Amino acid sequence: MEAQRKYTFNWDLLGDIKLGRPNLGNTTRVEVYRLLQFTFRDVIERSVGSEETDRIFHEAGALAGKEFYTHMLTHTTDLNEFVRQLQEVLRELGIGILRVEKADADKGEFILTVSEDLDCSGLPELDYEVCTYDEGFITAIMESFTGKKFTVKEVDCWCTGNRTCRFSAMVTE
Amino acid sequence: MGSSAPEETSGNMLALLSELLKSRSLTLEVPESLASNPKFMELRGILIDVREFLFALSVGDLSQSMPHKGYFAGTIKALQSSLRHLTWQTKMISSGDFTQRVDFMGEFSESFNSMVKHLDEAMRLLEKAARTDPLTGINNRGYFMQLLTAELERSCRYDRNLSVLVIDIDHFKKINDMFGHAAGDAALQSFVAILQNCELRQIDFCGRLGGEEFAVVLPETPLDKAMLPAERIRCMLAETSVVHAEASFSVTASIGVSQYVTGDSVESVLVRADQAMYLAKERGRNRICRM
Repeated sequence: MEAQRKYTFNWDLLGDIKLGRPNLGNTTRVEVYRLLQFTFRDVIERSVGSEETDRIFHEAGALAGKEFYTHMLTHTTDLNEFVRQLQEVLRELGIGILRVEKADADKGEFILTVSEDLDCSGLPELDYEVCTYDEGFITAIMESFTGKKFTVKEVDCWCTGNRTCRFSAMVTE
Repeated sequence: MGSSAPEETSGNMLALLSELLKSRSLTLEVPESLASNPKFMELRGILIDVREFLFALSVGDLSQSMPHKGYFAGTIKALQSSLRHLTWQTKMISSGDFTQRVDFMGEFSESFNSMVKHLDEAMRLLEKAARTDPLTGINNRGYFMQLLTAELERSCRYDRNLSVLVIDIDHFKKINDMFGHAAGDAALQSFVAILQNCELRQIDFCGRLGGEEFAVVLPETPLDKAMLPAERIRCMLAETSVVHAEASFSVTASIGVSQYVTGDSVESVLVRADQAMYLAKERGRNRICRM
């Protein structure tokens, strides 16, 4: 039997920001977000290793994506409308600039790019893609929109020298 | 086999790299002294792939993939991404999505966005023109029939009342003969102005069926209640003088009213209203008949 949980996520946990931050408001700096994410990565990796850390971040991203879709987007079956909404809200919240390179709804094949990505744009160059959280986030967003299972893979990243993060999203069922 | 002097190796290396950047054709043979240098061969391989990728981009082929990472390859891939996105946006625009805007191509973005804006405006004007009668500005027959079809389906689906008025200007030919066609046009415009000011509801709609014949659809309205706006239209028209050039004349209309009954089609409900209108003509004009 699963142990009683302390941190089950729900949207209300984000709190009443108007009430709680009447002077500082609803924004912070990107460094603060990255400080949180990369210190989490460091500590989790030390506990469970790199592969498991990536898996955890992917899963957390997927949870975030699912909740984000439910609370920030209006469900539609129209692909153009979905893309428009997602572009608007990602830009408005400073998460990134979403662009579509390819969208074949019939085949379930998509290539998306996110420029000025909150997670990685401006990071030092590395030999590997780092946006595992984004991969999970996009997976859940695509699954919520289509109702189908997706595999999302980051194929190019700021950290591997690209100017924009590029994701391949494919239906897996 | 003797090894080359370092100066000669460096010179060969620079010559091959320079060739990759400057020449259209490449030397296929790489001197043994360089072919055995894996770092050089890797760099040469990357540059060859980048050359091929750039050539594909230069001829509009956006389908190639670039297997290498790093700033150089990444910058070119970013250009490919932008061009692919632009291609997708253009497809969306051609499918009627005029909300697409480009924001990553400098001056081109401004021109492109301006073009899309103009296309959007032109499409709106065209759509409006395709729906509108040019003389009177109200729905033309085609669009009116589309609206009536949809409204009739709604009435059928929800079992709601719907009435139709068919209105024909009396003695319209005489007006044309006596005062000229421009005066006839003014009479039609005057009648439409009355239609637009006779307190029809927002859900009601009208159209010009052709010539001097018009129709008004009154959703959620049984036949008895439809007589009220019909009478209002008849009275307002009869009391209004049409002034054109030097002439001033009065105009009347005959109005036929029908109500949707189960099994009706657009044609049958209009035919009954039309028959009622002809009955009004037979009975002396400037009156309303129902059927």
